[in-house]
Amino acid sequence: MWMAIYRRLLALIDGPLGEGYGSSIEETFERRLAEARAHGRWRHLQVAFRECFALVGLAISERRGWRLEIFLEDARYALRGLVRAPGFTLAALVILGLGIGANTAIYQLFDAVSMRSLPVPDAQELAIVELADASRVEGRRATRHPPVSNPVWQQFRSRQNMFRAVLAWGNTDFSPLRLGQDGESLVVRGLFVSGEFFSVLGVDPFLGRTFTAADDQPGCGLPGTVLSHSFWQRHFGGDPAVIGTTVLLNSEPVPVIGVSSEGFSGVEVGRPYDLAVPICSYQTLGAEEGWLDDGMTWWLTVMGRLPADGTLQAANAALAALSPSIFEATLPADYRHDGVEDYLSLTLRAVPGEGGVSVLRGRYGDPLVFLLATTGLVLLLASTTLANLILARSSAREHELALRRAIGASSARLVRQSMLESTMLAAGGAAGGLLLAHVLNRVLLGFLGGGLSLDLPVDLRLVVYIAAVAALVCLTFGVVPAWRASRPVAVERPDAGRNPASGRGFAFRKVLVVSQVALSLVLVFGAVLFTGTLANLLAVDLGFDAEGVLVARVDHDALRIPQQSRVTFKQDLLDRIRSAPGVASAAEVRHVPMGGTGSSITVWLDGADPAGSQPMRLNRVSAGYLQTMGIPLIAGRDFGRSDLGQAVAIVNRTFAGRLGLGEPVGARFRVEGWDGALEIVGVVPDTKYFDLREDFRPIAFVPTGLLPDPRPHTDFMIRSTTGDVAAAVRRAIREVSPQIRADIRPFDQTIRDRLLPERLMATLAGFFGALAALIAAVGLYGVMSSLVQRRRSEIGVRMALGSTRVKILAMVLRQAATLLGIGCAAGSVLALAGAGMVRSLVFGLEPRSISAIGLTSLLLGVVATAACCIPAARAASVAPRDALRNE
Amino acid sequence: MPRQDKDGPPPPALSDLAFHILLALRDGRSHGYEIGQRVEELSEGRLDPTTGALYQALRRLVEEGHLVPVEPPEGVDARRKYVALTDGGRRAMRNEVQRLARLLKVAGREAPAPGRA
Repeated sequence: MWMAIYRRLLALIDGPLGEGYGSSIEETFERRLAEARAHGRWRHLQVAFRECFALVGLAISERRGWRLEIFLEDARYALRGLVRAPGFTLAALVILGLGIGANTAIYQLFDAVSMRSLPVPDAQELAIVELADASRVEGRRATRHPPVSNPVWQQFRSRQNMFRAVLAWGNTDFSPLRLGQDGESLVVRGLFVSGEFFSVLGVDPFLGRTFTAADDQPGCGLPGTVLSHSFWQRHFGGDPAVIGTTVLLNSEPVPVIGVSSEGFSGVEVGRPYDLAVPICSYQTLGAEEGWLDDGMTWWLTVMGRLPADGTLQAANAALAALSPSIFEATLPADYRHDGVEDYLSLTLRAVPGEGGVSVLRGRYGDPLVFLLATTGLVLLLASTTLANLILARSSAREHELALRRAIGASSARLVRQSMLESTMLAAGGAAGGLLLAHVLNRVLLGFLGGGLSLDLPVDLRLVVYIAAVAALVCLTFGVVPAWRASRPVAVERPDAGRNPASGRGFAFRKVLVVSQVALSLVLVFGAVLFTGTLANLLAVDLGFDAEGVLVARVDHDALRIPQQSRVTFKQDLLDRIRSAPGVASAAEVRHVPMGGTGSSITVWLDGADPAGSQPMRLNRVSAGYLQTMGIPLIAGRDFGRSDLGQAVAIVNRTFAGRLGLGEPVGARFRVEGWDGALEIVGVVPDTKYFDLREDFRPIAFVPTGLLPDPRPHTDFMIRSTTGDVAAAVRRAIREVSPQIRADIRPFDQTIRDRLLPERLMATLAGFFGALAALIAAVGLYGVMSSLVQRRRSEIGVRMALGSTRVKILAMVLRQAATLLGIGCAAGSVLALAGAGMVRSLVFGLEPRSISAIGLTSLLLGVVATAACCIPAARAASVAPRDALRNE
Repeated sequence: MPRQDKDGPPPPALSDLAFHILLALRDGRSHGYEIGQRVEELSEGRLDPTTGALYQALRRLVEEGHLVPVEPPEGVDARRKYVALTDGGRRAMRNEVQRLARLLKVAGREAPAPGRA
């Protein structure tokens, strides 16, 4: 190993030393190493390090004509200077660490979510094949990723020629797989994959084999499962004997045929998979029937690998030509008559798939970009603050610099030493920043919670990023003192070095502090916008009363209730929950409001022209839902027990308005794809469906039992009279069967989860805003202190001539106010200019509003003025005699 | 290297390492590893140059004409590069010895004897 390192280093020294001597040097080094090895391992290491280090120094001096000894001397001097000023050094390291750490943490998240390619060979060749306009699709959408149906996938696979190879997959979030092992049962993250999934991605098996096309044929049953490497480590202890063993998936025996390679965790960023089965196994393992043949269930995502000379444009042109034949061949027999034309005109298109798919990207992509920009500003602020600190310090060292120059130090050497000092600070800040980023990311991921799993490696890419940031920061704050070090100053200046406010640097310090105030204002503005957004969202009227309500997800998959008995079974469950002590009311619900799922239907008035049909939202609820959710009735009645499975509906105001119903109760409407009409029996106010930001949607509530529900779990909303009914509800559920599992959580936690991006933004923007205000205050304090010091004599003269302390106080505060005012004005311009870019992220307030800027300026002004009171008070307490004595 | 003129300025001093390298080659040609061993012996352990520093010094001495690359003896490792003293190198070595002797004389005259303040 050492020989290899030494050879590499030797290659750095090309030129006279390397030429002709290279092999001789190697031989000598080899012999020395062998000799040292004979004296023990420690001696061996010592010699190896010493020799390699010397070679580095040699490389530098050979190539640049520098002398390593001088460089080391300068570095020692710089380090001594920093050690001798512990207060300054600590402050600088803290400021830099915070700035670089925050920036790096957000960059890591942003990189993992938005930028990183899949860890597969030639990821840039991958493309996602999706519907050009997925909103025109009818039927059931069972994935948050670009969906196609299985028949479309099959047709595409057999007809396509624009890709070298294609794959399809669907995750099992819609109907979780349960792994049974030694009596234990746990939900696993599964993938249904096409036979060529692993081979197209270029993922080799770590153990055993991965699937082939032969494994994914219709009627395949359960040919096997491939485990992910990390799942195999976690649950099978990395035991190679796992191949050939059988696991129970949804109580079906499946042989383990392979383990995929380490580092591959699927194509979904943020959701690493545990095990994969072929798509054809859905027949046996899937909860709902007919999905493999159903052209109305959109649950697969398709990707393709472009040929070596292929482009996305060429692929898109070919897809546009191929699409009509695919959709003609897959038109479902029972498709709505007047939707056929729409279906036949659907087209497929290819988009870049290098980074896989990610729900995170959609949800957090924009906030992360904003946060990256924010932390960039924080870094800039940190740099200007540091430049100010260093300027203050170097003013005090002018005497020393002048003396050194007088006894022969060159400008180049002084500049070098100054830059070395800045480099050391930047390096120290970068190291601290890396540590902080690690901690910050753990906190952020914990905050985001919810089973999110992101790989945030500390790799060369990150190190290069931190080094670049540190170098930029170093240049920003290091160049000013370096430039000052290069300019000659006469030693005879009477106050050189003794007055921290002397020198031409002071005017520049004022400029710096004004820019600090401006940057801080932008950051505080961001904090105001996002805390305001969160506050507005939390105050949104949901239309129901979430307080005191629990959501219970009851998993009864283990019981394998047959479809025809499910309605009765669920009613029994509901009755038992209602009878649990502390439960005021309970109801079954198909889509928990704001729970991230929903369905839509197309409706028209019974007897009217179906051409006038409109899309509406749908939810299936049992009797007692309105009472449990605290939704009042405007007209009509709630569902009763007898409505179970009946063709009745309760609608909200917006629904009634859309259909032009003045008196909705008793009216009838039809739903596309449903037999018969439904009668409206009740009207309720509008309630939120998906999330807080959306407008109220038209919603129809129909009774449970009206449509089959083959899911292995059921959701119940429960209102309690006392605080803690979860235990009682669990006991009640277990009375039905101990094999049933229940996950019970407060409903407002569901709502809070929907607000995660906003909470993240508000917390971080708030933190950075507060930090920025503090930094601005400290900066202003520093400059004002220096200013007061500088004008001490003048203040003494003024007071001697009769000026009062109040007038002195006012004079100093006026100066501070001027700096603050200019900074705020500049910052306001910047903030308003950038405000338009965050319009999509804020809620309930206009980003470009004068009142928001006014509030921001006020907040910053209060903090900064408070900081300036101390130097102002100091000025007002100057004793004229003492001040004049120094004159 | 030009012959030293008796009335001209004194030749520049050799560095400690360069001087010991020339001393090490007094008895004939040698190669890097062996030279390094001899330098350490001659300086009684005071000098222990790294391989890189040693070869840098060797290269400079070749450039200055004090050493010259020569053919290695039969049957040795082909990687080894042998060097030998030139006449200029011998002269430089003698000059350095004389310079050091002069220094000692001055030191003996001016400096206090050991043991006295």
